[in-house]
Amino acid sequence: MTTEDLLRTALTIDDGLDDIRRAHVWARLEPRLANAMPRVRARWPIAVGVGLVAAAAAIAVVVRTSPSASFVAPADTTLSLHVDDATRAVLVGPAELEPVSHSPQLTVVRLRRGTLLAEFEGGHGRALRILAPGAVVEIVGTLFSVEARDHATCVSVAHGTVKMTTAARVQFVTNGQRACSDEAAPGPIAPAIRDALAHHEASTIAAAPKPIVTPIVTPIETPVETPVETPEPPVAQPAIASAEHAPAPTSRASEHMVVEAPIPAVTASEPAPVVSVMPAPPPPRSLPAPQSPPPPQSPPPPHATPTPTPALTPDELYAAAERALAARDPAAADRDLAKLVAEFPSSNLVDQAYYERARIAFDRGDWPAALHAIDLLARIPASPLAEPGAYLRCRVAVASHDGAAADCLTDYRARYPRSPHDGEALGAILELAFRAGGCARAKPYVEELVARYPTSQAAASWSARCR
Amino acid sequence: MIAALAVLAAGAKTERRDAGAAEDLALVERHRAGDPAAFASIYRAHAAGVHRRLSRLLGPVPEREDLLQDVFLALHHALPAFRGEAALATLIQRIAINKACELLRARYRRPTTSVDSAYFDDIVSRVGSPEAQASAREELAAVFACLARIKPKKRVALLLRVVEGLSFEQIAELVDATPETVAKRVQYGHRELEALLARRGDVA
Repeated sequence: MTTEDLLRTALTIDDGLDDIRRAHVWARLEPRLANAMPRVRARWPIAVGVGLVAAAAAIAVVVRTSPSASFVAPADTTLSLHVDDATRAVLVGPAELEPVSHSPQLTVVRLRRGTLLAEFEGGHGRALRILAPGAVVEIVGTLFSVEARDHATCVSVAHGTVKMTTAARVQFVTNGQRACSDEAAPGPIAPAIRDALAHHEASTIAAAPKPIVTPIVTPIETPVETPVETPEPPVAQPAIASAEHAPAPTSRASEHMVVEAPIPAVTASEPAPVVSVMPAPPPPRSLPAPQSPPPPQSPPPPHATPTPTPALTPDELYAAAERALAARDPAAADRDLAKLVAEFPSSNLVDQAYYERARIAFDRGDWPAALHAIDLLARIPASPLAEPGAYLRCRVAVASHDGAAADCLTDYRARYPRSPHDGEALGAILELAFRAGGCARAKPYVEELVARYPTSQAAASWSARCR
Repeated sequence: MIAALAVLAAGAKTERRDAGAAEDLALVERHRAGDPAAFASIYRAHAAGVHRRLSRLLGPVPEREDLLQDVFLALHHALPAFRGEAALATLIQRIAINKACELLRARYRRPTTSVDSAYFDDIVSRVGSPEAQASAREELAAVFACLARIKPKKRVALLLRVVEGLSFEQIAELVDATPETVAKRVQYGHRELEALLARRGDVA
């Protein structure tokens, strides 16, 4: 063997990147990207503007020029927002929230500081992503809060599941749990946060015209963390001229005569406003005294279920499964992975475990088990293994002679353009077309294969066959 | 006939490059428009290529996955200024090569054993007899030790030429040098490697 041959062998034998490693790197990269995202991105398609409250409380709204649109809730105020038509949120001051982007599938906001209480009604294919210090929080439908501190972020979940990605790990925070980006494991939700979330859930805010961000500012009645003393109330100030009275959607809002105003749209070329709401004094005595928070509509969420002390950690179980796979014992690997997902449902390895279980089931020809594992994987919000999972679903369809296999592959290619499996997916579509109608049917796919992957073996063989 | 085939091959390559480059540009535009899925698509499309490049320049070092992250983080910073003069894939590969060079420079200043010996086990286990395995292991260790003593620019040019089979022009585009400079780096790198391997007793 020459030196050159040796170099080629030594440097190419381990240069592949499999789906799981690729997903792993992405899971660690994504929060770094989020934190590195440029501050100016004035393409937020949601209109931004000014809403204010005054009657009992004197609230001044100051609009100043800034490179990005933010919502600022000063200390001792709350700012109610319709972030989009699926998200009702309250910023508990001092807090600052910045819209980043919005599409029918995904709304992205950045919580710079403070606490965000939110109820997100996701639904199929919709997600809310919150960029916060040291973490990216993703939600597909839940009642939760996010607290942004200086260098860390804590997520509390009343019900549903939230995915929190930090530079160190990905973890799923579920019913009654609280997880912080600087703490190793989730703990139970703090009672104050739980109560605030229950209060938030019970409040019904009138729907705003979508997709308009509508801030409703109210002084804090029930402090979430620190009680606010009520000094002598000042004389009530008149509402700002252009504001309109909103329907009194909540008892709390009506008490304070909440005023909403649509927010003018901001284009990329215009400097976007920052809406800052000055601290609100307490309501005057002429108004009804703030009532205690209404009772929650649903029973309070349970505290975190204590995890039984396991013999093995999730990492150890996953490592054991990997060893079993290397030893060609997929049954043992599957047992370890099943144990992992059963005992550690919020582990950051759960999506990998589902994917591996799906692959193991696929390899043994157990299509229902493979599809079940893929379904479970697909329920995990924004998993980096969603793409390989979607491709595996199509492979199951092809292998099981499902009539929808070609559609599955076509959808996959449309959903994940330029994916590493694109060539294989195109080849599989081609093969199915050929089986269904010979070269006449396969020809367009052969053309595409040759155009996109001209040096591939498949392109050469199909060209010889059908061109 | 051969010339005609060459023209056909060049045409096919251009077509492929155009298709991929156009899709990449569309993804860049979507990314600029604020579509958070676009950068994920760019990553999906290019991660394997970057990993392959890093592996072929650095060997199976444990830092590859960290560097892979760093490459895409740097790309994320670079995209706002990207005007499409070169293909996105070229920009990504340039960044990958720069990141690899940074690591190689640090290693060159402070030489360490960067390749896990378990990696050698994995390779030599595919060779037949125990004697052959021992010999292959020794050769691999020597090659990596010698490579570590070649200056990063020469090493990169040499490996892009020998392992990847790129032309001097292609390497020049990736490392921002002239083809003549690249040719010299390859030549000197090759010479140094051979000399070091010849004196492998001193190296080890």
